[in-house]
Amino acid sequence: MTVDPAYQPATRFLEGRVAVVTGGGSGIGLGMATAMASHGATVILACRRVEVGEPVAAELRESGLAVSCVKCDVTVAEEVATAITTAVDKFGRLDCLIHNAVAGTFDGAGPLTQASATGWKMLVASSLRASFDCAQASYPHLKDSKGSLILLTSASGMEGSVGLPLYGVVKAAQRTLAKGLAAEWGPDGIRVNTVAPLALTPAFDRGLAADPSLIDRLESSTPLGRIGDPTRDVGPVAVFLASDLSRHVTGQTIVADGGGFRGL
Amino acid sequence: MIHTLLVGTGTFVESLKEGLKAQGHVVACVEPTRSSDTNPHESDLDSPAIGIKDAAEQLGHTDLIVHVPAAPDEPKKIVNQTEDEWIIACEAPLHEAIAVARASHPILAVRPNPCASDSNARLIWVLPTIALGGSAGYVASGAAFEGIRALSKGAAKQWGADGITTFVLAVNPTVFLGNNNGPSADGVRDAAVPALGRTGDPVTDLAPLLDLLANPKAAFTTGGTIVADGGIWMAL
Repeated sequence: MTVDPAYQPATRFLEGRVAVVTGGGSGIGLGMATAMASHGATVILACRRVEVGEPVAAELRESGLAVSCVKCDVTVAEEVATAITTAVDKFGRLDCLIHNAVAGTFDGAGPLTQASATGWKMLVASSLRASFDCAQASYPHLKDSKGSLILLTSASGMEGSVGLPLYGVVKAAQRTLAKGLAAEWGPDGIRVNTVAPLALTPAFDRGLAADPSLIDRLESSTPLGRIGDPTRDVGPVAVFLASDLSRHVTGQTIVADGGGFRGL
Repeated sequence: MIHTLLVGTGTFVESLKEGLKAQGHVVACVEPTRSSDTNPHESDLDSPAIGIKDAAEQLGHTDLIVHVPAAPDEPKKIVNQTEDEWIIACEAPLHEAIAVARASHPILAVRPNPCASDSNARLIWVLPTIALGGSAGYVASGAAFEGIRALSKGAAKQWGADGITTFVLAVNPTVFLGNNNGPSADGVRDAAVPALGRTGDPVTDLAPLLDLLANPKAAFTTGGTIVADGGIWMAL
């Protein structure tokens, strides 16, 4: 997926807001970041590889969007804290943190009995431990702004996954992590929600390379008949959860997959 | 006669053992290896469950494996939690559950005619209902327990053809949290009053449900969750 600067919403719901998106340099993270910036937010792409994130941020800036990039490997707690501190120091506030980055998705693929400890370790470090680090680092700033924390989950976390069982485990954990945080932080005015997307991304492309029939199977089982676009289909969900439109919504999951999963 | 392997430790597990024996089960208990709690990823995926194979061999054959993961004794806000406390509450129980699942597969799959309609090779996790709804003070452990529910579903899908079924028994947090002999969960206790007016006794309320799920007549259910909390969580 490339940058989609042509996305120009008629209304700007995030004017004056500051958001950090981990894994914002590509895929769904970039789609959400682009949509949020298009709605007026100042967005910081927190990217493990700056050489990937910075050109993307530059391209969005050329389109008039307020997007910058900061180095952040989410498996390193200090880099998570630094990314958030940098955003607050530079832009004065933090209204929304989206923890989207995940690694090791396909390392946990296949039979449970053959899953590797290395793949599991990477999944946990990049999703769960990183959520813990994101939560701790962002809490005082989100408390100040009455802001919003958004975690990424997946239908595989709700219905279990035969192909990616350990990915399903961490995505399920993310979901109840968000529910618990919603309960814990509600009195501080912080909302915590999850998004379960399915969209065309580089990760999806890798899955497609391994299984070319995947897209036909998914599209045929999706009521809307197509796989989502990160900016135009998933991005607005992040905009909604980051904005005052969702001011009374917390502890919830929004599934943005064209209707393929309807189990909630 | 159902042969049951109970994986866990503490007063709650002891009560389940007593209740299963009262149901006529032959029960063996095994404690998971939790010495590496604060750095679970230093070990491989199987280390926490290394005792299961020997315990199962002592049973002769195993029909039912029940895993009760550890839970924190006291609530703690996530902003006050250290990294080690996070690991103990979230990552270590997940790691342990994966190890138990992996150790359980060869034990349950070797049963004669595991796919026969009169056979039921079952792996059950007993978890508190905070897996379903989350809870302030138990953010980390709630996340772990919901992860284990997804593990149960994934295992059910992968192992159905092997004749292995899985299930989660979701119980009232007040009878579960602090199951390592610590105090119960004060932060959760007052959250709601059960419709049945009591939180549930492991011996007389929960063990019979494990027995029910172990019955071959229940073998067509897999990957599901039964809530046994006296009627608090009704959102399924």
